[in-house]
Amino acid sequence: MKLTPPGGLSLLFGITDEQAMWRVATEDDEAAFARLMHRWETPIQRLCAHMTGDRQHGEDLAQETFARAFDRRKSFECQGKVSTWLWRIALNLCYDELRRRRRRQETSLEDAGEETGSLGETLAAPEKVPDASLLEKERGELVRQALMRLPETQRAVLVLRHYQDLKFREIAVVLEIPEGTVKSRMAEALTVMNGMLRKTLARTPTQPAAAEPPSKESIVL
Amino acid sequence: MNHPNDEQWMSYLYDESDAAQRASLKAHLKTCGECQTKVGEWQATRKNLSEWRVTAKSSPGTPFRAAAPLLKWAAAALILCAGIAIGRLDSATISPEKVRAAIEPQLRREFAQMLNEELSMSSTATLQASAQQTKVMLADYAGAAETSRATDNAAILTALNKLSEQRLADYLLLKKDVDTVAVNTDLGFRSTQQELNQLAVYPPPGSVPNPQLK
Repeated sequence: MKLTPPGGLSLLFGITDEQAMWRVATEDDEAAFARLMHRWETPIQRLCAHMTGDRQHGEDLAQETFARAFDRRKSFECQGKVSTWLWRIALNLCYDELRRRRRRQETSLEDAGEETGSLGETLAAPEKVPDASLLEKERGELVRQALMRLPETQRAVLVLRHYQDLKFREIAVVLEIPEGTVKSRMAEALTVMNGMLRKTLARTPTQPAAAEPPSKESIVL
Repeated sequence: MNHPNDEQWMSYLYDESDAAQRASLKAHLKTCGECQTKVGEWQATRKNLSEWRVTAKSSPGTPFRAAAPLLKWAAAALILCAGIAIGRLDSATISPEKVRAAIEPQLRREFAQMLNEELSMSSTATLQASAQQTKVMLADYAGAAETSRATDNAAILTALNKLSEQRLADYLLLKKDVDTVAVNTDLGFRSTQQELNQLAVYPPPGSVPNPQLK
């Protein structure tokens, strides 16, 4: 059983996320929850934005994450970490959003008839060569598009490890899968991304063939 | 050749393998072209992934204020460097050593002076603030002590008044009891005297009967 120090908001600055969440769960302490939001809002926004490929969606989903977390505050398990709990809620909301988006796309494609072609063809359509001044932005956009084509299970692992900098064992706890599976998915994700980026980024002339196998000397040992 | 599996390579790539495992993987990588290609592709992909990063909105309360003194010094250093650079460009014929020899003592003096002034201002401000704080605390303490003393005095006075009232009440009660006893005693004396008088006039047996008794 965890102990929480007595006192008001001022004392909250010395307590852990878990103690703050315990106060939220047991006493509906809004100040403690505001502190948790302040601490975790940006990381959750980034996670959602990287999962959905859209910053605005990331912000909306982050808000929704905290709203859901507060609604379900009584179900928070004291032995777990708050961050793990928030990552899970956020990821589930991202999956829901991506599912809705897929349904909308499928519906619009059906409405458009056969002229549009398959979803895979649409997503894999070659990109136009960008203007030189927009190359940097364009390359980022190409990476974003490639990431959005990655299967969600692999994307989640890649985003949590690469963009959120969680350790593999932490990701395993969040996703409730073995650590070995996390690493396998990460390797698969990097391999698939390499295949996609090799095709797309090679068309941007200012950078060297990005995903070409580097020379032996360039490999970080 | 036994190649390490993908899981081991992921730990290696993201720097999560222990020292022994890392050394072993590193040694393998030096001699295995196949693994070099695979790991090289993953590294290139990691680099490419970093070309897209979501920049979240900056949270409120950015500690700009804490960095302000540093920024001030950085700006001063920048201006100084710019001055030196312009000076060097303007006097290209003068050797850098001469320029340095000429300006170094001056700069050192100015820096020392600035530092002294800064330290002096800082210490003065700190002392003033400390003295002010001490005064405030002493005033608070004196006020609190005065209040406490006044409260104690009032409590003692109330207790004394109550005690005095109690003593007065007890005295009156006691006086009343004493008066009652005195009255009862007087009555007792009177009654006894009357009985003695009656006893005195009573004739002994065999004497002439009292005609009044007939």
